[in-house]
Amino acid sequence: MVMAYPMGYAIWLSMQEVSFFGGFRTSFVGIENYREALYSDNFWWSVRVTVQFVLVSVVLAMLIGLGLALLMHHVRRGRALLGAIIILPWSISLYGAGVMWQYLARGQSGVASSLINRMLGRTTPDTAVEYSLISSEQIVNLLALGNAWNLAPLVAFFLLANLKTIPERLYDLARVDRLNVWQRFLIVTLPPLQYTLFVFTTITLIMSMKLLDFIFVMSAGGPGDASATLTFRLFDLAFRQSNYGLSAAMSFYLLFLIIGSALALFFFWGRRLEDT
Amino acid sequence: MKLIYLAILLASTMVATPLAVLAQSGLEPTGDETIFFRGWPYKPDVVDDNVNRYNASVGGNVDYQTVTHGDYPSLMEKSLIAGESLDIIYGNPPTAVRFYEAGWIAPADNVPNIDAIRDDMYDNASYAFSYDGKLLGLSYFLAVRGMVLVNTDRQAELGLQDAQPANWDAFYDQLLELNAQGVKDVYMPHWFNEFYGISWAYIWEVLNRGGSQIDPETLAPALTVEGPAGETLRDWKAIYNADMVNEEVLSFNEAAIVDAFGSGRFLYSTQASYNLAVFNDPVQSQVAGKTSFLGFEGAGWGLLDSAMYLRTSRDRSDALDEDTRRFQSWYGYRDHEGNVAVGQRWANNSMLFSAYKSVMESDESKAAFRQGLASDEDYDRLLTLYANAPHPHMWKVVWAEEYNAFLRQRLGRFLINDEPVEQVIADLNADIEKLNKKHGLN
Repeated sequence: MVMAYPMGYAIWLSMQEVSFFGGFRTSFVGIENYREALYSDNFWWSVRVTVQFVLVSVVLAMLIGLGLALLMHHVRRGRALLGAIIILPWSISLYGAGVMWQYLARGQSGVASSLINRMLGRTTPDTAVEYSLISSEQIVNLLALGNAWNLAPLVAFFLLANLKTIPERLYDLARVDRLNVWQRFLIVTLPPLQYTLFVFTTITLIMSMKLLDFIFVMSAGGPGDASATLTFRLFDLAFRQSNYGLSAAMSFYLLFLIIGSALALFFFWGRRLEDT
Repeated sequence: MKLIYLAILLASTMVATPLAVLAQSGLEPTGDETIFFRGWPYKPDVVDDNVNRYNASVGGNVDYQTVTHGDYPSLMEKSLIAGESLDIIYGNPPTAVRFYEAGWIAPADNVPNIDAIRDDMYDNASYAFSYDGKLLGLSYFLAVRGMVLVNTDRQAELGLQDAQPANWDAFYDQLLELNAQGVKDVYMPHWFNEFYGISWAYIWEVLNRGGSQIDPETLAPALTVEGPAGETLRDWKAIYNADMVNEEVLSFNEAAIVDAFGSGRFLYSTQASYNLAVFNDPVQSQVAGKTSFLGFEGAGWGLLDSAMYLRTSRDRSDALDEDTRRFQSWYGYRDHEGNVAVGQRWANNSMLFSAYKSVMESDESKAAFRQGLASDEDYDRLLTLYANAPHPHMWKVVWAEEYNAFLRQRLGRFLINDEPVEQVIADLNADIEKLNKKHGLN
């Protein structure tokens, strides 16, 4: 019932044109909203933005998570403190993270400008240069970095738990076989992590596809609509433009995208893991 | 003994006087049901204090909270759709028109003291707050949004004191000329990414140039490539393509453009009139005492920005309905002591204009406004600008908020992708036609 009612309502809504003016009324339009979405340039732009955002988010979250897990695994002293510091980004609300990243990325007050000016030795307002990370070319990657920053600690802790299960004697044997650090990582460390990596790739993929709050606060889909992911487009259509039918129809395309991506991931990666 | 009688008499008088005033005011609540009051988070401490004063002085039971950061009109609309228990809410005129058409708010025509309220209102405020012959709400604030602020230090440095542009055409010509001379940081436009940012900037520039988004009679789209709509887009494109405006402005909020101009870097910036008080305050800005503005010389700058206290039309008991009307009148006009206390407080501490003559023409307001200005002469110039600030006719149409959301994204894309003016005008006109059709308006 928890699933069926909202899903059923959304299917019904996607086939209606809704108006709240002159009294609440709906009119049945069949698959018109689904057709309109497919013919909309805005929809395809948002699909493109979503795919880029998700791909960069997942790759960064997994790489940063793996790096942090390895760091925590190998650190001998201050591990508890390090763990506490690493988990912090995950514990921050996405709203707060959005506000913070927006400030960091701005030209006038951002980190990029600050670093560049420090490197160039420009310390006065007259000579300082501005380098904004909030531009239409970079905004999606920047949002993905912020998203990965938020998700990576969770990935890291699960991978760390997995790392702890790898018997130390395997590393001893690798040393006997004179494997170097990189070979030890590929042959001894990585194979037992594969299942966790697969699970978290799937989780971060789904979480990134349905992310809205961080994007809403940090870029509000902008500049222009440069970072209007599908979730942001749905929000804009439903809650700003009161186009509930079209928004509901688009939400099913997003659902298909999420399910399709997860199935593709399982088909090309998860199934092979099951076989092994 | 006489002293005791005197003391009793004095004490009775002290207790009885406020009660008598209260009884005469007709604004005290009749029951103890809670009135739910919600608004956007502008100085919530001040609002909280005003509400506490109401609760303490007349025995009210008002629950005040802010709606969190975001698009207030759309968030509030969803709350109303969801049937939340709301009684008094903030709203801009286009939002109020929309909520009224949906049946979510009740006109303010039957609040206590309505005749006095109408008499005390300026005509331009009355026009902005009325729809379909009804007064939709009571005055929260008015302001000129889109006036061009000037950093007088930079103006003097560039020798422009006697070269003040008289209209938008002359303004952009001057910007491009300065840019050609290699002058940097000339203009911080009002192109931020909030519901009252870039889209409102476009609406007022078209209005100020004598154009309109729609025909006021038929509501048909009225934007043309050769007219004010096209001219505005061409001017925007010219300064954007000349790298005079950083792309990140399109993702700013209002606070960011206030910070930017307050830093003292920019010569000009389009802002709201109440921000003059911020810029001319040495604690908050580096251009204190040096922030003036372009005056009215036949063509307006900006539009009349305003907001009201609206009363929802939700199902309430008769007693609560009466109490809500009383609170609306107390908060939106005169309190139980006969003072326009809330309006006067906003004028004093935030330079917010009021719909009421009794506030705008009071000595207190004059003193407060003068404090927020760089010079005494600016006071009359500001009032002239205010008197000539237009209220967009399209804000009297139910779909204005929907168009605003479309406009906001479309204009950003136009600048970033350097799209043809013809294409944007065609898209805007098409959207207006679509919205008219959707709402059955022509």
